[in-house]
Amino acid sequence: MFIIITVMSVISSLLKFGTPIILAGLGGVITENAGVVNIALEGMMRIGGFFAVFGSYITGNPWYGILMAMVAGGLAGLLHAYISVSLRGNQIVSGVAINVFALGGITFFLERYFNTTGHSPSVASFMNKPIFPPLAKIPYVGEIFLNMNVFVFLAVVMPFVIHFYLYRTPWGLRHRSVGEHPKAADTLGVNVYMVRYLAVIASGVFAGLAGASITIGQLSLFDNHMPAGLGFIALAAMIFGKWKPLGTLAAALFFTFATVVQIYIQTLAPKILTIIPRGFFLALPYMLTILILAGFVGRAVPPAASGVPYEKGEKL
Amino acid sequence: MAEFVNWWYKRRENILDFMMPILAVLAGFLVAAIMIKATGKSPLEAYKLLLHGALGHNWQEFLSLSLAGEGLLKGSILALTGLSVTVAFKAGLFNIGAEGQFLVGAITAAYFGFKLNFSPWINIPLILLAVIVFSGLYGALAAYLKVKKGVHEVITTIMLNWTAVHLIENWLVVGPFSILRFFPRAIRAGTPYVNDNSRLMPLMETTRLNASIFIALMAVIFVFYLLYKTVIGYEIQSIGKNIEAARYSGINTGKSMILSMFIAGALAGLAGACMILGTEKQYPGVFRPGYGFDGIAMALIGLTHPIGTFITSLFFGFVRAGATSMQLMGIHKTFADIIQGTAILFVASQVGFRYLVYLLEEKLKRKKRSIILEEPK
Repeated sequence: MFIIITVMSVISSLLKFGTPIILAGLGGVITENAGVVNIALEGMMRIGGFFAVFGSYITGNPWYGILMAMVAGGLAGLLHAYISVSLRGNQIVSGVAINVFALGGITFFLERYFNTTGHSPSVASFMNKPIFPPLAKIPYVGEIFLNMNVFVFLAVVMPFVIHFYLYRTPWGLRHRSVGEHPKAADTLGVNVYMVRYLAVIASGVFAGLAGASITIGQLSLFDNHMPAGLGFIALAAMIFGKWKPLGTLAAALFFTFATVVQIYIQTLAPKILTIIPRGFFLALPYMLTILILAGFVGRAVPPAASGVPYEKGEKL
Repeated sequence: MAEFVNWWYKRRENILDFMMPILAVLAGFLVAAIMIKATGKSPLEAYKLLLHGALGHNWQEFLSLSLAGEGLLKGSILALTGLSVTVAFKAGLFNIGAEGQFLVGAITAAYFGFKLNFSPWINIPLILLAVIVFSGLYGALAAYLKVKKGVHEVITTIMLNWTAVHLIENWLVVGPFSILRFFPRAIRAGTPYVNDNSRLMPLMETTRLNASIFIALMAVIFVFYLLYKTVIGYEIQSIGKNIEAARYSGINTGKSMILSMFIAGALAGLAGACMILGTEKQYPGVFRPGYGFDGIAMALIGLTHPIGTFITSLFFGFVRAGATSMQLMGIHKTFADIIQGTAILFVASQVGFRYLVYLLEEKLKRKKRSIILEEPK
């Protein structure tokens, strides 16, 4: 009995804390499979997180917060798409720029609208608002649904939706062909620019949702330190999941597990932390990602054309 | 007219290169001004405060350089991380990891600054040597993985950044290097304070300016000399230009890449060491000044040339120093990031900008076919 409850509560907190990583990681999967690298996930999460709170603050309705987060993230994605697809600029540089801009710009907005550089006031949110309240009353299994707000629900469902889209539909095939061999896709009549634009905008929307899932999902406020590296963990999860949606889901849950275990140890058996310091648990996702890329733990190969600008009519 | 056209075609690339950073920074200031205006404040007033804060409120203050120290101090730290990114860029590597190397340098300096206690002229070089070794190796690791395992350095360096953050903040600073381990009754978090012999001497009474500026100057000269006057530099540059050609001509590309990342790591580490030995005096509990990421901006706006990077860094050093006084108007100092971010976006889209210029040329050509017959080869 105790074991079941513990397992359920661990699954529940895995899903809760893993949600931002899963959503942002999916954003990364979508754009990289279309051949555009997006290291601005962190910045887009920050933008989405802020505008979610802002939208909820001015309307009093958290659904508008979600909408604003998606729009703001999508606009950041549009900017990244414009530079990396239309202008064929360096995608890494553009990503760095958006990260830097989000860092300064959001602090600026925070000061402007909430007169603070700490955290915003509390707003209407989805915190502790399960999407299926009746299911939460089921014994044992209900624990999972207790924490399942709209974001957690999306994080559970979307990886399968995107998996279906990428691997089971003709559009998904086109999408992936643009990331593997844009020239061939173009020859067959796929609009490479269009696919890349939509993919990058979608990744911005997902990153925006991921940001919102922290600020109006787990909490009900925006803190100036957010998202504190979660965007980069999402990037790591995407790589660890081998650029696949279900892999990313698994990797995100695995990384979250390391964090959750660390929290449990801290409260239940702090002595263990004197043998294995907290830093190792926190650094684990990043170190594992390096190891998997180097081929020490399996092998991860990115889509062939990821990061390469495409120019119509260019000779190969 | 025809002469002008010829001159334009001959110098076009150089002019566009030179224009790019200036336009980028102007675009940055413009976007920032729009944002200030949008919040209902006067951009002109804000920029006046910026100028006063950076250089002085009147001519006497400006000429006495009493305020300039702060800008120079920030500028020299930016220059070191900027040079780090520049050196890697010359070898065709994108060093996003300057932040992690910066932190590794900082913690190394904090540790040895506390442990070593000789006279300053021996002590400081010894500490800096340790910093160069440790953060250099941390940087070289990314290049090693690229050469041996084919892992893209951007991903590795991002991951190494966060590995450094967590291992330092949640292990070293609270564990083996914690101040509590040496002084159990200390009330501050972080590492113990570095001893007097390890501190970089202040140069001015009025500001915090210290010997960091000399370290930065030496680094600029070193990088310039290395890249443009030595065989190693030639090899590094040829890798960045065309790695296949470099390999065919017998250059050990792997070795040069690792070396360039070692130098890059060492430079970023020195920046961290300068902050610890100069201003912080210890590694605080939480230390994420972000100079590593700023270094990317400095290198890109400075056209990834050591001198250009240095000038850009000094400029932004002053912007940052001045931005502190803009807080009087309720504009947060991270506002400098807005300028930097916009400027990098502009640099990122320079391919498109050039394309626009070429399009304009085509249009003019069609209009004035009588003057311009053919583009000179």
